[in-house]
Amino acid sequence: MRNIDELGNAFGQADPGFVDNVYNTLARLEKEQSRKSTTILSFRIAAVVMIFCILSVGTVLAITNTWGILDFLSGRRNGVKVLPEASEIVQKDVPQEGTETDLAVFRVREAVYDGQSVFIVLDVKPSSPEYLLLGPDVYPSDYITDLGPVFSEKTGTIADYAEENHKVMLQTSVVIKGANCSIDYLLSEDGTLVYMINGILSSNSATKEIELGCVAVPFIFQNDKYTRDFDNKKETVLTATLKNTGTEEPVTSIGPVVFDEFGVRVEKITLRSSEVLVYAEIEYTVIDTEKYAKTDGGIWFEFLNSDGERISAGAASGGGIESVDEKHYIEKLSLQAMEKLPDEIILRCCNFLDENQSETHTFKMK
Amino acid sequence: MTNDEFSSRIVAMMQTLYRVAYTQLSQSCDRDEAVQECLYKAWKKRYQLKDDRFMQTWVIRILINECHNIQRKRSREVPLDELPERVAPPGVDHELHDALFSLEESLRLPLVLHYVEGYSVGEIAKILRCPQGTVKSRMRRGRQELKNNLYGEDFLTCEI
Repeated sequence: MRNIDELGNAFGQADPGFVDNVYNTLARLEKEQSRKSTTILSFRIAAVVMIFCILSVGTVLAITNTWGILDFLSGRRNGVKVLPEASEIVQKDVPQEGTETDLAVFRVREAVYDGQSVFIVLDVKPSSPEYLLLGPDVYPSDYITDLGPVFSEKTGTIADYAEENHKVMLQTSVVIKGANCSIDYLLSEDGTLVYMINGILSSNSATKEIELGCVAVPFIFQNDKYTRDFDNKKETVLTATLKNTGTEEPVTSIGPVVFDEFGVRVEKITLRSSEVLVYAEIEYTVIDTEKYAKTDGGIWFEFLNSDGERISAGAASGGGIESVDEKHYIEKLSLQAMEKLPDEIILRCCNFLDENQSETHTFKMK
Repeated sequence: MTNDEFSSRIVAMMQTLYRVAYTQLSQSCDRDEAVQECLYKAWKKRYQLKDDRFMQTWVIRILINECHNIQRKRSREVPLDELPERVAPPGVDHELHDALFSLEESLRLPLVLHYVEGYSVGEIAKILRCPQGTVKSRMRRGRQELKNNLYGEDFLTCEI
């Protein structure tokens, strides 16, 4: 018997033309913006902007290729903080299979998994010194300096550099199967491309087996331009087993609170803490459909500290609002790691469509 | 949202963008045009998005609009029934593919957004800008018609 959950089988994978089109459009948008910019440093490729941020705080680490999860978390976004104990839950000896392809070896070097979010640092090492590894959004026509400070003294494009140094350019990609994930990466001096991958994967079991789809595609010069040679694409599914280090006992709010202006009642706030971040869940009910309808369903919540300042977002990607039924919703988000979960927290409800409309209440937590 | 965050999140949405475009447009050139326009608009307006958490549904909404624009344009150029039929790509469940794509788009899209992309009825209502009751009834009808298109009765056991 078929099940409607099989509906995804009616679709194939995005065809190469579609994928190329997305990457090329993103690259073009980046370039157009960069042309408008008067900034001398033109780190135009998206991930390379990230690389610049990371390297600006830790060039030595980058050169010695020891970038780990905590380096990425601290370097990736301004203000993302984790607890000092976070280093104790970083797994450095991750059991894994399916790491090799003919073009490159993909290996998980570090992982953190707390039952909700997974963070992985994965090294991609070229199988031959003649291979130059590029991330999923870098193209041969981009400037070589876009590859980061290791190439800051060079001029010309990546393709020029590859030709002069007899390198074959490979585009690589890594995703966690079954999870939307965010990806950062940097190229180190020894030619290793280091990926940082973060996604949401819920599990209560002591260990979690995850699958990483790893792809390497060479560029070839054809019809006066570089295109990806999908006939020679090499891919592998890397299976890794992660320990679930879990989260602390949650704290919950005492009693519901009505946000009258928005026509909703917050039934419960739940905060769960791990060494890396705090997970927050806000369960709310629509009690006045007329007021709620005025927001076009566009309400969202944010937490404030005792000084009334917004508590910064945590390291996890994803989250969002889940609908339980037509009147009940759960908003999930991540906050920065906390030494101790608070006894009291301030919640602000905002209108997505009108930044001037908001309502704030304080919740006791136990 | 920084440029790198924007690009990373779009790349992470690659398969979703493809499936949403494929659900509405049978021609690959049209899908390419739709996603290109969608990315231009999303890029241009990315600073207007007040909360990054809504980026995915926001981008899907833009893509659906672009697909509709292209459908309108094509309908002026060529009668819709003269467009070449959609050919199932290799490796897919052909029977399911043909059954799904014989549904009206208004029934097909909510099914795909819910059962393939994992969006809740509430989220789909926001994406399609219609009441949740409408989404539910379309999904109910869509499932029924899909069931009929496949084997008649006794199929597709999962309820919303």
